[in-house]
Amino acid sequence: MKKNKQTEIQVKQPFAKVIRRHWMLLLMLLPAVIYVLVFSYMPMTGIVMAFKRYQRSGGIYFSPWNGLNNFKALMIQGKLGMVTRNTLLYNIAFIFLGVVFEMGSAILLNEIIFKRFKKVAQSFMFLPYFISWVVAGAIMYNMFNYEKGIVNTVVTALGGGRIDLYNTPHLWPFVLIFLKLWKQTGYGSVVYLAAITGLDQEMFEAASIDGASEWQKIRYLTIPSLVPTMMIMVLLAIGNIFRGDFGLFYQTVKSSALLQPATDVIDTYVFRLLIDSSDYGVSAAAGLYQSVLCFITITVCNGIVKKIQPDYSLY
Amino acid sequence: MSKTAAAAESHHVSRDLKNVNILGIILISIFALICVLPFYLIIIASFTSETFMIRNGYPLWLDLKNATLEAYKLCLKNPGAILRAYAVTGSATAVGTALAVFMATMTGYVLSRKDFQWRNGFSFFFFFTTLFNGGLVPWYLLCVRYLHFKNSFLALILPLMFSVWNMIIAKSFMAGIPQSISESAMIDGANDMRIFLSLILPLSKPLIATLGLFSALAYWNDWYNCMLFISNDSMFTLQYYLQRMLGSAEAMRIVAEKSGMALTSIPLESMQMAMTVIATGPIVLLYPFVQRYFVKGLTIGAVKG
Amino acid sequence: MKQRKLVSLLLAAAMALSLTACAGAPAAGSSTPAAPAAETAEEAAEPAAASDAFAGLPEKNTPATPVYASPDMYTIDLSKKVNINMYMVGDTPNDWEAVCAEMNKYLEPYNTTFSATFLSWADYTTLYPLALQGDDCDIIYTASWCFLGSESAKGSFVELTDDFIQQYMPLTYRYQDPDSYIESLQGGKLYCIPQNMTEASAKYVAIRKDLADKYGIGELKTWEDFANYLTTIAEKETPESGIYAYAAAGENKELWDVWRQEFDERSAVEDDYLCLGYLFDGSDKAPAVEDIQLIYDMDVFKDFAHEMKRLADAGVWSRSALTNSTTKDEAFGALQSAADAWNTSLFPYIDQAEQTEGVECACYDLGADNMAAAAYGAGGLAIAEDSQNPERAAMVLDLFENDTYLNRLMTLGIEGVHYEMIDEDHYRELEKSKDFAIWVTAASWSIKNYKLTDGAMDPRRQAIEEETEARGVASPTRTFSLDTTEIADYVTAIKNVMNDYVPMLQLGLVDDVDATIAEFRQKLDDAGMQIYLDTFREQYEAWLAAQ
Repeated sequence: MKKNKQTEIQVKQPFAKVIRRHWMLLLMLLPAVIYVLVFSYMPMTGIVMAFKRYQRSGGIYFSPWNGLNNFKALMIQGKLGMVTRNTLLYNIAFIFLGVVFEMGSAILLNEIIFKRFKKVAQSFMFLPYFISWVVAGAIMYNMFNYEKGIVNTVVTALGGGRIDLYNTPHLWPFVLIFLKLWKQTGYGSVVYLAAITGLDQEMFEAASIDGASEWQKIRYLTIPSLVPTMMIMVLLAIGNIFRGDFGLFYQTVKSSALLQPATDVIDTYVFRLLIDSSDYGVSAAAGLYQSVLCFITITVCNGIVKKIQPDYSLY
Repeated sequence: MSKTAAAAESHHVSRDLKNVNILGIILISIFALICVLPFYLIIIASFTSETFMIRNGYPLWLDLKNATLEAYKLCLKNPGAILRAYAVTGSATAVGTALAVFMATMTGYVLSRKDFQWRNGFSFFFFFTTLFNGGLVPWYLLCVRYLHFKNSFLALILPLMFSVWNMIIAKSFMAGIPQSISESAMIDGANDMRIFLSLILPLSKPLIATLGLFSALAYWNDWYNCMLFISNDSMFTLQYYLQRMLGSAEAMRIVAEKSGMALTSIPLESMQMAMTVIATGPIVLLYPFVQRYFVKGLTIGAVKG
Repeated sequence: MKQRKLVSLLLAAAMALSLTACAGAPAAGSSTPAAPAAETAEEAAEPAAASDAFAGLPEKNTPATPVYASPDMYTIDLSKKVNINMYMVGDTPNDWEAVCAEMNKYLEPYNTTFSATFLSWADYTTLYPLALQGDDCDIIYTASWCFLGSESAKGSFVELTDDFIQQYMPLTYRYQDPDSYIESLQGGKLYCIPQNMTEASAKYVAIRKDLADKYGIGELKTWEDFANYLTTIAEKETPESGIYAYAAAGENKELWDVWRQEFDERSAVEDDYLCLGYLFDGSDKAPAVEDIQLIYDMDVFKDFAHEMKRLADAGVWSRSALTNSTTKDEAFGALQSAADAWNTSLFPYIDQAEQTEGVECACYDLGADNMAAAAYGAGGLAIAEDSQNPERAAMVLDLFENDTYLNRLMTLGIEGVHYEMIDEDHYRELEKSKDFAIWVTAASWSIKNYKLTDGAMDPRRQAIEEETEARGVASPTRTFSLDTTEIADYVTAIKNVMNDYVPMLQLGLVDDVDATIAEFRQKLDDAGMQIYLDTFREQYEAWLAAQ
């Protein structure tokens, strides 16, 4: 357990004293700690499978040692770098644009004075969350199908040329980012909305009295007040920055080799690698690879945030 | 105070509030329409015959000539089973959400207490579990061999009960509640649990609503845990029940191709659509009720002093 | 003092030993009469007991000579009641409870109960490997497409050695054709019992006869006829009614199979897209290793790729065919396309299409002048390594494979309820058959001993099946199996490259066929193709020398 570096206000307390003073807090932590120990830390030991060749007789812990061979299996095709890059770039776009859209829609929704409109709009915005990627992929296919898709019917009716989406790799980053924002904004904006409602109204009233315009209030009061929430959401997202949303990248793209350089992420790559073989060692190795990269990234980012403003850091 | 009240107070809507509203309404409307359009297509498709869809793709409006209840009939073939699934999912969601919100807020509260030296250490302890994961097999073995989860209601509740994500959100929110409240209560002799239950929680309604929503959705949508641990079909959750029908049809295709055997054919596309409508219907209808916690402005008026 | 301690220790040990021995004895005493005779009398008595039990059995297991087992055929201890659980893939048939009850009635004399767990199609890819980690799996269905390779490599199945089969599965030992095992061997070892008959399979084409008549196209005999039909439809019918000539989706494996039939191309190794093939001349002499090539290097494939491009450019299928998820069969059944290709599984879709008035279909065997491949198929029922009672499981497996009553319960259902026998080789489905369809259980696919045909079968189908069986010739390389455990990673990499390139080459959706094939070949080399070919060469020559 790390002994945290305290600010100048508090003095480092010896172990026993902390327990005596905060025994109730520790008790309140106990259920979560037990839960996490049982359900997360115990299975975590299975990571050792990344270095083993799984044999039923040895189980997870006693199977023969396979060194780094499982990792080599990931690298044999030479695609690992490309899919890692894709995963990272897509996630960066998702995080950045996600904040813009989620925070933006929360702020706008909050500003609107027509209650009915707000309620209806918000419900609508939430709907995509319920549509699974399988269904979304099917709808997409029906819309963008070269011969029969709705989109192409409309485009040709307007005199344009048909869009062959499924054979044009470079369009896909835009499509995928759009899809992700479409699905996620409603859900993600909830956190920001809740944060806004928790804001102290007094400062807004004071600003109004001082003659601030609505835009100024948003810019100088609302947004800065949301920064802590935003930082937490961003940091949480960074903790998963090397993990791709499997459903999004698999169900909408389906399996076209042509589109892979633009759309393949680590998760889909590993899925195809293991589709017939259920090799636990290799899938554990892939998971470990992603975990290590995420860990390095979040440590760096959290460290930076801690230096600037410790209150915004995750830990 | 809500914007409406403020506007009313000033007896007229200020010009830039109006501008912001216009911009907001336009942008939000566009986005909301884009969000709802696919759902509209889904509903129509769920009432369209499979052959029509194979031939013409998804229709833009419901042509009564081609309308059919076939997909729904198939999904609802066994009404008893569906009702049971609703019941199972409903109870799991209710119990699970209550537990999940309680655990997340309680843990988040402890970690938000600035006087608790070890809060960063514990935060890391929890957060670490979101980074590293042993994978499906160890977890499955743990649950089945040692915890005996198979066909137990616990299997639907426990895996989702504590979410580090939710806890961190709770921690962040509660850190925003001024320390002075807790401190004055402590001086008055209240213990931490009391402070948490009687003071902090009531002040955290938006947080509870948020976490409640997220947890409820997680439980409602979960089919994975059901797939892994439940084989008794009277305990199937709603999503799993429908997912099975859907996934079966799809997987059968793949297997049929590989093994060279034809397995019975089921209308797939329209079934998927009907499934989505059946599974999401109730929650979508429930959502407006939860919404008011986000739309209405709640002040921390009691903070003063 | 020390001596006393030693003596008392020895006494204690002796007592413990005798206790365990006693614990063993009562069990032997209370078992069925034949068992102690078999156990105590050992070598001398066994043949005598065996021949008594097996005396009434026929020479071969045929419809005319059914086999009925009895408990005294088995040498294991049947005194404890044990439940054997079988895992199968597929959905639970509605009437499973009833059928299972009948099975259990029959198994009473064996002091065994039977149950089954069905892994739904939706989940089996995740649940299958996990099931083998659980503690309630005794027998499980496996196949080349159903984890046979990967689970054998993990040691999840009991190895079925000759001794094991002889001792615990006497009926299988007696009746199962040893040839049948070879196709299912993994690394030279046997892990499952496959079906006991070869089946000739061929790929056929189905067309819309009404449309063929409309455009004056007659019977299809060769590939050229068929291609002509497709392009005619694409040219004339598609602009009019919008239906495709052939609604290919995802890949074009069936047309490839139809094409290569005409060249009598056979595979020495076939693993999804990874095939090493040769041109078969009908003799039972195995080809020389030089004659076996990666099929993508062969002219058979190159010509095929060019032909497919020709068809794709003519609009026979959609340009989005790679991502299309509706299968060509569903499309054909829904009258969305004018042709289909597959094995006899075409017929359900033909039936579906013909339900519409005015639609008539025809099914042609373009390879009628060629030989059809006859094989046992890789896969069958295996015993899980984690099973608590592997010998008992072996017995149950033995019974399902060979005992006519149990076999038919599993494959056809309850006689008189789900089916009835018209004559020895033909059955007819009864009204309740939809609750337990014939051949619905996964196990039934691998316990076939002879051919039973549906009396009410579409006569076209019957004709085509008979004609195919008649020209079935087994490949001489059938008994060769490639052990890839050492190069497993390369195989995965190679297969991934193939998954990337083969579908689009098969669908002709590439700009330059030769350039793409060259690029494909290069990528294969990068993935370790040469290592694979060298491994194959080595093993094949060794196998050849041993023939």
